Amino acid sequence: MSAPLFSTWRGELIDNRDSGDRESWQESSLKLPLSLGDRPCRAFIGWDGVAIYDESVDPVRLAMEYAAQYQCYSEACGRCAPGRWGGRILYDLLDKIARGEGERADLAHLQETCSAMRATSKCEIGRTVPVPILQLMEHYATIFEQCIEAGQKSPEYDQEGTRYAAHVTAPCMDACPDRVDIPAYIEGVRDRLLDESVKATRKAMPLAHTCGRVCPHPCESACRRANLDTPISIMELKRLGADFEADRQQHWLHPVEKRPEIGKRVAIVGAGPAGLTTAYYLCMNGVACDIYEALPVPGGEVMVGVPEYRMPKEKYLEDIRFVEASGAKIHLNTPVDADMLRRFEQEYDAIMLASGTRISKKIRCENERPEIEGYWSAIEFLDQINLWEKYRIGSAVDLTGKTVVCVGGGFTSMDVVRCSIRAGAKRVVMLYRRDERTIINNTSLEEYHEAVEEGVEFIFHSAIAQMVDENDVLKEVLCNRFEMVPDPDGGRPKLVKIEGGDYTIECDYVIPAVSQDADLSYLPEEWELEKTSWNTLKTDGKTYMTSRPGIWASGACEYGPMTIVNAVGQARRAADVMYRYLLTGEVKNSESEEMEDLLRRFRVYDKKEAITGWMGGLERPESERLDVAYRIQNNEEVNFGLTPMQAYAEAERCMRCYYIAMVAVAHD
Amino acid sequence: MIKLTINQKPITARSGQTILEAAREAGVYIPTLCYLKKVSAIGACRLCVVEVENEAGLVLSCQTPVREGIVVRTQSPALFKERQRIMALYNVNHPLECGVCDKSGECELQNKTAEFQLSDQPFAAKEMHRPIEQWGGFIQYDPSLCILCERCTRVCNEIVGDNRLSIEPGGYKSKIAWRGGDDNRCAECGECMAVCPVGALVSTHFKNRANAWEMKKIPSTCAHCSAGCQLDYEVRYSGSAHGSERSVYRVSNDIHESSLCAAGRFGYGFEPDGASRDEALMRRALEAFAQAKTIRFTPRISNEEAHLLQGLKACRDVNLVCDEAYGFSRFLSRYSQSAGESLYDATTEDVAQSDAIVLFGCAVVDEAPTVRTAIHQAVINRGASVAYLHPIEDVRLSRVSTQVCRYEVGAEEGVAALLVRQFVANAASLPESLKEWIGALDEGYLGAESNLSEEELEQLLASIRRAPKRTLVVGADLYNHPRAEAIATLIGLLRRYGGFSVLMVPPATNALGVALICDLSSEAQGYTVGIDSPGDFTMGSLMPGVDMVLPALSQQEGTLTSMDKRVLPLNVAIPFSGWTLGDIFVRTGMDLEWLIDLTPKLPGGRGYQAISFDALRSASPVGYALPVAKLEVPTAQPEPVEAIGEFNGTVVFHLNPASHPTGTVMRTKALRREGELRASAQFALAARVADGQRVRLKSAAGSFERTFRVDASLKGTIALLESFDQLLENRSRGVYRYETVQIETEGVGA
Ligand SMILES: Cc1cc2nc3c(=O)[nH]c(=O)nc-3n(C[C@H](O)[C@H](O)[C@H](O)COP(=O)(O)OP(=O)(O)OC[C@H]3O[C@@H](n4cnc5c(N)ncnc54)[C@H](O)[C@@H]3O)c2cc1C
Ligand code: SF4
Ligand code: SF4
Ligand code: SF4
Ligand code: SF4
Ligand code: SF4
Ligand code: FES
Repeated sequence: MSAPLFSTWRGELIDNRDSGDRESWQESSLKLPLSLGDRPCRAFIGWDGVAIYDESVDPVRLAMEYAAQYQCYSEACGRCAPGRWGGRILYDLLDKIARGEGERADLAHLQETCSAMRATSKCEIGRTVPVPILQLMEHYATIFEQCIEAGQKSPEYDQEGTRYAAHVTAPCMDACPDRVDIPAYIEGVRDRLLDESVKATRKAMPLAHTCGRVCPHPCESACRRANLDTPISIMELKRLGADFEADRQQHWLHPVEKRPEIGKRVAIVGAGPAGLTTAYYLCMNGVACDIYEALPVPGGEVMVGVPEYRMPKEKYLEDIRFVEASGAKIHLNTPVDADMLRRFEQEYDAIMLASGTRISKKIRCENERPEIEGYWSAIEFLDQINLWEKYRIGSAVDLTGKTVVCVGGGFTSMDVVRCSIRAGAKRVVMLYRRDERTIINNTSLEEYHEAVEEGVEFIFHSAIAQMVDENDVLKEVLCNRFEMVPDPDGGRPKLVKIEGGDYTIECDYVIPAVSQDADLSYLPEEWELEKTSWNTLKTDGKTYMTSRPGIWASGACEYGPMTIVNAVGQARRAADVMYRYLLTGEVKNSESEEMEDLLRRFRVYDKKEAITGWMGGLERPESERLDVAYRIQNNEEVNFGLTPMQAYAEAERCMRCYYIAMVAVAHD
Repeated sequence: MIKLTINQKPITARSGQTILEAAREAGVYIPTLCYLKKVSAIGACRLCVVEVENEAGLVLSCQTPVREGIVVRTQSPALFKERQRIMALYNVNHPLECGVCDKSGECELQNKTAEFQLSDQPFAAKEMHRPIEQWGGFIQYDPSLCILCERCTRVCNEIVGDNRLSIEPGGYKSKIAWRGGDDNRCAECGECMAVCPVGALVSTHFKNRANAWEMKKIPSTCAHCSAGCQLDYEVRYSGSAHGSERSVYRVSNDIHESSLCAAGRFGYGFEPDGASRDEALMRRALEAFAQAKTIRFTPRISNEEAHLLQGLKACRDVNLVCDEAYGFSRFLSRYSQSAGESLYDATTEDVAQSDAIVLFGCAVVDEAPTVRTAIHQAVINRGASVAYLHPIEDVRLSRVSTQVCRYEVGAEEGVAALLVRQFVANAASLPESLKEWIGALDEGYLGAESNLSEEELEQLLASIRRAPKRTLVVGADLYNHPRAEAIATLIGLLRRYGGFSVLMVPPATNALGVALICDLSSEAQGYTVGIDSPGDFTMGSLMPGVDMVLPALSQQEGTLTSMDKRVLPLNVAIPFSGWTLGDIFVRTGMDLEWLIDLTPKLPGGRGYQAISFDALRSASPVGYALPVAKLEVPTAQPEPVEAIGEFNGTVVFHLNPASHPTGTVMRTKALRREGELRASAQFALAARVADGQRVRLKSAAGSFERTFRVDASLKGTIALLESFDQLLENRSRGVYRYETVQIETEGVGA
């Protein structure tokens, strides 16, 4: 909470210009951004409002600079009449007024152009740019008029003291941990230019096949279309471009051309999403990358954890080959140890640790002894299944006639139970401490549905209290039952054990899939890398450098087990920071990265916003899936993806909610 | 069906239709500039906004699907105001100097400016000097007139399939960028030009030559290939020393519904000179016909003319020889026997509706532009798989093909046999004899000799697995193959047992009509009357120096039978003042007033119907389709596959570019040029020839010269030989399209 001098953001009009000293200023209920990196903000202007923090801000210049940003942007787009020409007129007229050459008629012209842009622009960017400009013209009318009447330049017109930093975002993009340019790749689909679509995706997301299939799509919970009817099927639309590249005899569709080598080398530990992403963006910038991978296969958990029926190996390999096409070298069967790392530090210019979290956590019940036959960690179980199904390495898992109890509630446990069904188990039980809603939140509705359809038995509000064995062979598990007691203070409901509610399940296997830990034993002890309280590698969460200069960390080993897109987002950011570090030796975020963080804190999506200019009542499509009876007998991909026609209709629903945000900060 | 209300009028629409489409169908006007029916919604002009009750703001009608119960308003003072504002913005940087613009009178911007009552340019206009660009040979682009409606980029991607155009952003300076020159991949079809609503894209041939309102449109059927595209000849009288003369000034079409290729659009003005109604000439012609043992002709005649010739054959024994249609007619009848159907069943529209498309022996991009468009539609709308089976890969298909199988030249029979094994072997109700035949195939030998691997065949099979609608398109590589009839039998089996629809691309304009109407012979014997073909007495409209000039297809009424098996009308665009084939038959005593009196009398046994010529033009769509009848025939027993011959040395492939399908183009102003020999850099190296060099080609058929071009879009060691300019001299008519030649450079003129 803060008290700006003036703000119109989110319909809250705050005007402290006549409120005397700061103590008595009205506060905003919003988390308005106060600083960009370490520089204090003087003003924050964007798609919905404008906030000014001190009197010295020049509103005319602010409006003109904002229009200038749009002018630049529309130069780069130019795809609708109101935006293409309106943007230019807006800027020309505001600049004319700001330099003291404006006329009264220009104000009317501005109004006219603004309303044309608001009513009929193609993208939200063209529709929203006039919003704060009109607000400034209204609330700071006297200053605008002064410039015109007196033929004066606006207060800061010639001054260099203020920097205007702008950033283009969208509600969905802001919520995507990797800031994928969602409207752009959807536009590619809409235009039937699937090559353009996949290129747009790959600007931020090299693993287009993967994230078009198994991303839990946090972006969709921040899709503005939900305010009108249902969120866009953002995730599935990504798959079309990727499949186009793979299926239609295309060469690799890189978003940009690879830069010439800069003579620097980076070593990367782990060929999972984080390692691959680091390599891709560094290689495209001309940095040579070696990825060292302990396993005999590339891809990390997405290869050995995520099963074939959700993420076909061949499709993931397309992504991996795409990364390799940037020049990245993957060295398989190469576990990195402390000595190697010491050597890497000498031989390479920087190191990325992206080793994931590949140790299953314990359930923490009585008699939980790994030596009991029938106790099988989720990671080892899935390793065996996937290495066999995808590569014919090791041996098949056969559960014919067996009962499997899995403890979990996230992706991993879902994969365990569905794989168990496919391995022929007689009965598959998923035990979860919390309720159905939480499991859906943790994974996805589709995935939960599919598991239920396939015959997985879900038992909620339950946890294993004890494993019961006979001579180290598992016999059954003893379970406690819980109930959710709402927190009177409005916090998360508490789980309270129901006395006398215990029961047992006879079973052959218990598979803990609660969460994973990072195995960081390979790090040289003397490096004394700082850790978090969850035993992951500690960074500042902005540049992703660890406590040791030149050593970065990203993905699960930094954040803890999360999602692919989270790992990719971190790794891409880290690769950018590393690249600049390799060039200059400085470890610093760019202004645009700072803007990303600033906006994320503020949150771009406003679920209360009323939408205009679009007709609602159009539902999102559902893609066709493989028939249950058939699919439980094999590993074929379950989801066929959207048909082209479904996809185009879906792309037409996307409102292209690009926004420009801009802050004014003091020049450094 | 969805019910909605537009301007208080209750309307029903199909689900998925847009508000704009529903309104148009109901006859309600909504202004648009960028909308183009045949492509996906563009959404650039924003003029089509409407009001929908209970929805805040204005809704874009061209992109919003109808919803049950909505109440739409397309006209209101507020809408007028918004549209007026948009038009004001358009005119900001569009010089309103319509007086000098070719598009004046048919410019959509001009019309809309008038509609929204804008006279002045209210916002400051920016002067900008912007150079005019030349896109290939026929098209000029003026960026200062371009309103960035994106119609051109859409058609190039969605209809033509070249995707040679894109927006080059730059605010005021935004323009359309043409990437046609890169690897010579712009088809120069002029589609972009045809759909341009303003004068930004014009033909260099048409430029400043006439004003739109001075012209008269004569609807007809394109004369250049078997696709039978509908077009309008725009004709105008022009004063000359000899009085007033009518000529074709331009070809146009209904841009919302249909498209034309370069040949159709630019290949006009092929009418012959020197027609006369000289009695002595007629006597000579009658004499020639009386003593003729053979009539040799091209398929570029009407169904009615073909019918006359067949009539002659019926009443007295003459050989009808049509080299270009002969192989095809034999292929077709063998196929019918094997498939158990009177004709191939598919049409271009079926291709567009397919989920899996297999192209075999058909260089589709050049051979069948309309099929290429249909393939694009199937890929775009249905995600269809496309397998291209051909000895030469075509980069222009790279946006659509899911698989390219390059088999060896000459191996077509082996490939067809492997396809039968792959697609038919597991069919239910397969006759024992066929099973045995399949069982006896030497797959190893066939695979190795044809260069088609087991994996490729597996992939082919996989691509049709989830494809309910499968179409096999076959082309002219097969019809004149030494083993054409054996291949036709196998294609018939793919139809009968393999779950494929089959489309054949006829090798020339009306080759299908001729194949159906005439009983053709293979060899010319005795005294020969040649119609655009060599003979003792020659006549025609295309071949230079004929004894008697006949009307071109743009100068007569009659019908053609198209690839889609439709009977389509020709009209008189340019009057003809000489004798016609009909006149000769009348002189011999035939009771015939107009040739088109024969239209309803075309052979019913081949599916032609008793429909009058006049009824064809008014039908919608134009013409009628020949039905495909089931035949009670026993399953054809395929022959044992012959050993695959080898093609060694320098091999050329006779292929004419889409823009120059036939010799007819040699009579046009825009397209006339010499054919070239084109090949990859690899070929140039091996054959020791350089780009631009004159070479002499020697083959069994003789020797002639060409200019050699290195074509960056080609790979491999087979050269493409354009021979449209020699068609009339009988080269490459009715022979297998691949040929071994010798290339000489010594002593060849510069
Ligand atoms: C079963 C399962 C299902 C999942 N499903 C989804 C899903 O549907 N959607 C989603 O978004 N996320 C899902 N996740 C999470 C996702 O897989 C991870 O967030 C992601 O893989 C993290 O990427 P990473 O690169 O950080 O680590 P990882 O993918 O774990 O990769 C780390 C790599 O480093 C290697 N490595 C470790 N130590 C060394 C060493 N010393 N030397 C060399 N190599 C080493 C490992 O072998 C591994 O290959 C799932 C996770 C699991 C376990
Ligand atoms: S409608 Fe499109 S641009 Fe807007 S938030 Fe949703 S996905 Fe993003
Ligand atoms: S990567 Fe995931 S979160 Fe990001 S846009 Fe795609 S689906 Fe959404
Ligand atoms: S002429 Fe045809 S191929 Fe060339 S740019 Fe225009 S539409 Fe595309
Ligand atoms: S050239 Fe013509 S069709 Fe193409 S964008 Fe410009 S105005 Fe539209
Ligand atoms: S040549 Fe063929 S494809 Fe081209 S316009 Fe004429 S009929 Fe159509
Ligand atoms: S017709 Fe709808 S935007 Fe142009």
